[in-house]
Amino acid sequence: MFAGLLFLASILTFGMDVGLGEEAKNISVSGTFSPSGLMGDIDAVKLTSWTANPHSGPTCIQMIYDPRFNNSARVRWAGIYWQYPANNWGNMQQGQNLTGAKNLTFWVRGDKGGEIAEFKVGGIIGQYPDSIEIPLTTGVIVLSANWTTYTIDLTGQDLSHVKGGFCWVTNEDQNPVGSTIYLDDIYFMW
Amino acid sequence: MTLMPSSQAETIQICSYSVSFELPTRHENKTNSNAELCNEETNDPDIYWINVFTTGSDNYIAPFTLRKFDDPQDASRDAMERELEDILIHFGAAEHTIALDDGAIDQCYSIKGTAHNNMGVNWTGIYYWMDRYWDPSQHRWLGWTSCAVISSYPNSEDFLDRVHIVNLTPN
Repeated sequence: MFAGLLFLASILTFGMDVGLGEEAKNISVSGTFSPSGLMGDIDAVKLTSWTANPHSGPTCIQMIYDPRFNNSARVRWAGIYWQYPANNWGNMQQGQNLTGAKNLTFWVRGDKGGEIAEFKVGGIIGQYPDSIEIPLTTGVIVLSANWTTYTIDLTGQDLSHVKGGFCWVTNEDQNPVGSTIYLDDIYFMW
Repeated sequence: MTLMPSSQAETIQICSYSVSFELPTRHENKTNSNAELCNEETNDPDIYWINVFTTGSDNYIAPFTLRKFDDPQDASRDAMERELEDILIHFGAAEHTIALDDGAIDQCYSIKGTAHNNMGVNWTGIYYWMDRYWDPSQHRWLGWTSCAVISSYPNSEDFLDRVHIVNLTPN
């Protein structure tokens, strides 16, 4: 799993695009943060780079949640934080300074439509917590089988040291027979 | 498994279970329903899942989850309340907003719950056992097949009052 995450991080575009001044600056979550923060039933989650029907470019991210594995200790939920630096659960001082970003946007689709998920930014706690102390969320949403964009408003947030740049979370009540979803073009937008 | 447009009343059959419901309002966006079965031999319980959902500018969900266990489970009122609370919380409801009450679905004792999240989304849910029975030897309620239905659709209470789930081939 860890090797797969490194592979994914290495092949995704860095994506920092400074164009005509601040107005055109976008920062790619996939190129800046690492999907290192597996949570909950980590054996229920598989994350890979996927080439079929990406939203843009050659690849997107496929995330499979399968809660039906044999483990008596399962907690019935799972998720992934995209962290900076990798594996930063608030134990490292570093964070990304994203001051000035207006929102976080991303594209997502479900494999069949009807998959249920929640997406967040910020909220990593610990000795050196995220500057977005309370995670901002899309709320629980039901996904279309077609690519759909979602936006999380960052207005008024302290973005001086963001450690959890993006987060996906789901659970067994939301997807009792599992889910396969695809993510692409996750950007902090100025 | 199935894909159908919204209509006043729907009946979906998944294996031996017939699930009937009536969405409270018509929606401009297409309403879909998926029905899936998960009954791998190594897993318990069998899960029968129907997800009614509307995507687009309106984003609503109404998943039906039936779990059939190999062995009878705790079907006490307290256990039912805990199950429904956990489900509502798993859909983002703020715990302090959850209100529970007794009810009946298809002549089965049920727990009904309402709650909302911090973004103002209202959730309504029901939880019951289709085959709940009193075991005098253990002095407690037990059941084999649980049903949970929650909804973020408008007027969900009316919607849930009209839910009917029938096992077409009971033992």
